[in-house]
Amino acid sequence: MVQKGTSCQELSAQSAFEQLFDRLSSKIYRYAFLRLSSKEDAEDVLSATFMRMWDYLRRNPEVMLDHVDAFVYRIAHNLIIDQYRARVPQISLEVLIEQGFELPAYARESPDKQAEYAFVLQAIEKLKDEERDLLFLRCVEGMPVKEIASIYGVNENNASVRIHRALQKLKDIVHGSVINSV
Amino acid sequence: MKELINEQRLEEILQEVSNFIPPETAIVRARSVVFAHVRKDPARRLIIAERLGQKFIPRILFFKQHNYMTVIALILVIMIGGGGTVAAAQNDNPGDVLYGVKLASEAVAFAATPSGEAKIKIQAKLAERRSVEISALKEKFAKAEAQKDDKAKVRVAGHIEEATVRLEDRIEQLNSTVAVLKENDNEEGLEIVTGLVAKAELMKGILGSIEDDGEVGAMLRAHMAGVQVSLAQFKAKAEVAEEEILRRQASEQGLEQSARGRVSAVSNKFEEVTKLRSRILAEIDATKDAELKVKMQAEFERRNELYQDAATLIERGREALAKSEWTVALTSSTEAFKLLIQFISPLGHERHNIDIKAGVLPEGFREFKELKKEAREELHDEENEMGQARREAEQAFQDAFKEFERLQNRATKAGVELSTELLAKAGVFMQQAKAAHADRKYEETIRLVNEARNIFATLSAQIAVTTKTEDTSDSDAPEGDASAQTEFSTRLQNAIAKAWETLKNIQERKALLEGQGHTFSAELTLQLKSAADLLAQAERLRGEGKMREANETRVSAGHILDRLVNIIKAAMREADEARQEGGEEKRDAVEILRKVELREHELAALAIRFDIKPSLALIQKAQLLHGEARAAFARGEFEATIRLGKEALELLDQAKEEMRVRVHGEENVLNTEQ
Repeated sequence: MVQKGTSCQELSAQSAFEQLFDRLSSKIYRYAFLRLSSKEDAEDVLSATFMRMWDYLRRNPEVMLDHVDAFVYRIAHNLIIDQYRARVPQISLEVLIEQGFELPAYARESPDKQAEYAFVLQAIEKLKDEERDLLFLRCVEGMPVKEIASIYGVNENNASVRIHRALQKLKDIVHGSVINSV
Repeated sequence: MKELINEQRLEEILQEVSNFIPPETAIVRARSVVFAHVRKDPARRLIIAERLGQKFIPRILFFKQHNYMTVIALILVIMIGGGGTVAAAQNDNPGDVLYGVKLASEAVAFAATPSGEAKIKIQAKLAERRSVEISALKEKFAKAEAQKDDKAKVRVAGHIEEATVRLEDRIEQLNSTVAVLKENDNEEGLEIVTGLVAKAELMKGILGSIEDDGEVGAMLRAHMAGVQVSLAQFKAKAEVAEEEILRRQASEQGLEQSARGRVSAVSNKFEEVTKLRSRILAEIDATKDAELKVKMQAEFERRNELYQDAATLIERGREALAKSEWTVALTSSTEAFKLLIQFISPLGHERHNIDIKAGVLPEGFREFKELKKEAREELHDEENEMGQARREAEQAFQDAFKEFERLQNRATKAGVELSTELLAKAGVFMQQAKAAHADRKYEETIRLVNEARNIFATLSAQIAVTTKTEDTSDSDAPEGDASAQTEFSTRLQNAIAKAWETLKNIQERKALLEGQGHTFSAELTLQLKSAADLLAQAERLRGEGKMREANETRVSAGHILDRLVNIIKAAMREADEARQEGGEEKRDAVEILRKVELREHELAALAIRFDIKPSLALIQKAQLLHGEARAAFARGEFEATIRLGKEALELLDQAKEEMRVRVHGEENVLNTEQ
């Protein structure tokens, strides 16, 4: 659901803020988890994101937010960049599963399909931060291109192109890694 | 060349990732952290007030119709004003509209009470309120569970968690104040202590247990168990204090005098309670709600036995006094005194519709006895080392709290907003320190408290920077409070030195384990290196006077080190286990199973990439063997696991070789493209 032009004051009503949390908490957690491969860190990012959001809402009651979801993602993104920059990025299906990453469909798939997951997730690791974010927002969370564009401060066309390029790059990496494994 | 993972499949896989559901507990925990932060917002109370003034009337009529008492109360609020809000809020639970008002009014009451016995009474009262809230929330939780309303469940669970955290804080405070009461050897001191014991018993009953079996239920149960333990500890401490007071009274005043005093005191109390009892009866009589009335009556009947027993004991005390049997008089009147206090304390709650199950109270009695013994030992361990460490830990706690208070004052004065992330981090350290203290790991406590204090120091430096040089908080060396700076610098140095030590330890352990044949991922080595880099950087930054950056870098290194310590610990445990049961064989078995799995994945990948089916016969046979090997491993037959695993591996190797030949034969891609 896209909320258009909500004022910070409205959002800082407790019930509205609780709704916001309930609606986005899983998404933000997922976002952080896939970036950091650690459930503790993902949890930290989740709570810190909403604390920052709250502080922002309280400080700027008159500001109108066009894309609330995008705004929250942006906070989470900045937090991850600020707090965990020093960390060696590492995404692997093994680590993720060890950390409690469970996909219902993955478990049902045949081993060869499962292998595809491993390749894709490993390939994601090789993408640049921005590319990874773009794919995550568009393909995983299904965010409208318009909102994604608002996060990156670019126009819709530009965002589409970037998403397409990121997907293309991911595909190349996946294929490269399959070849390398022979 | 066929592209088997095409864009569509790629997008499918990415989409599937959105089906990953984060662990409920993580969300609940984050939620409680966030809303604790929201609650702390001082301006929020104003929002409630605003809402009361403007948009509130339609809201009440819409949402609260089912509860006409609340509506009436709230209409009164609007007519009468402030005091009414507070009154109306008193029955609210976490998550209700006026709960913030309730907490605020409690804080006011608490602050307005002079320290000493009255303050302790209020503390106990507040603790009791929290447990009543938990009990009400538990009902809500069960309701949400029955309705399969997961969102409501998580929300209520969050509220329960908040309430348990608050309750634990209260009990903690009470725990630290009971010792003071020991010194008050008057009747009032005794009454309070006895009241505390009864309250602890009561809360234990109210809290009960959570029935839900899900992840959330389990988490809440764990929370609740924690509360019960601290409650039992508190009760034990209160009882020890009680005995202390009694003993002192007896020895100071002489037996006869204290026996006479006690009997007359208990007679007065009895009269007082008798009046109260008839008031309660009248109240039950006037209750309109039939169900509630039955519950109240049942509870009254149960409690009435205490009253009757007390009457008998008082009579016995009087007789003993007449026969000059001082000890008998003293003990029976003391017992009567306790019974009377137990009689009055629980009845007040029936209005909250709490179902105190009969027989809940004696449960856990044995455990409690043990705790009591522990508490007594704790009082006597002051001479030995443990006592020393404990005092140090508690001192560190107090210092940290003082520092925190100073920090807050300074921040308010300077109008600086403190970094919520850092505060939250410090909060986590303090929580962990609290837990360590409860486990009697005092050294750990001190370490964790110091971590928190380091963060306080960082924040303090931040305030100094912001106040001295506006808007240049990112500039170099923070100036300002010079002594605080030096102190911080020293502490930082110590922390860095400690981190180096940990790092060295990890390296040594790692080398040791590797000598025993354990293999670590390359990632671990990488992380060790990056931790070392970070520490070196932190040292450099400290040298340059960039304290804040230095500390942040150190904290990052600390995070990495913490994780590595866990990995090493796990590896050591594993090695231990392996040594105990079958040792090397088990490790080999694990290794071979891993190899088989890897090979299977590899084959699958090859098949996808080049769209060729591996020899079905070989693969099926290998999979069969793999399954058997796993079963053997589960049975603990490592030798068989290794044998079966090797066979499977051989078959898989054959299949791979076959595929390789076919790939090279059909498309000579490898040589041309790579």
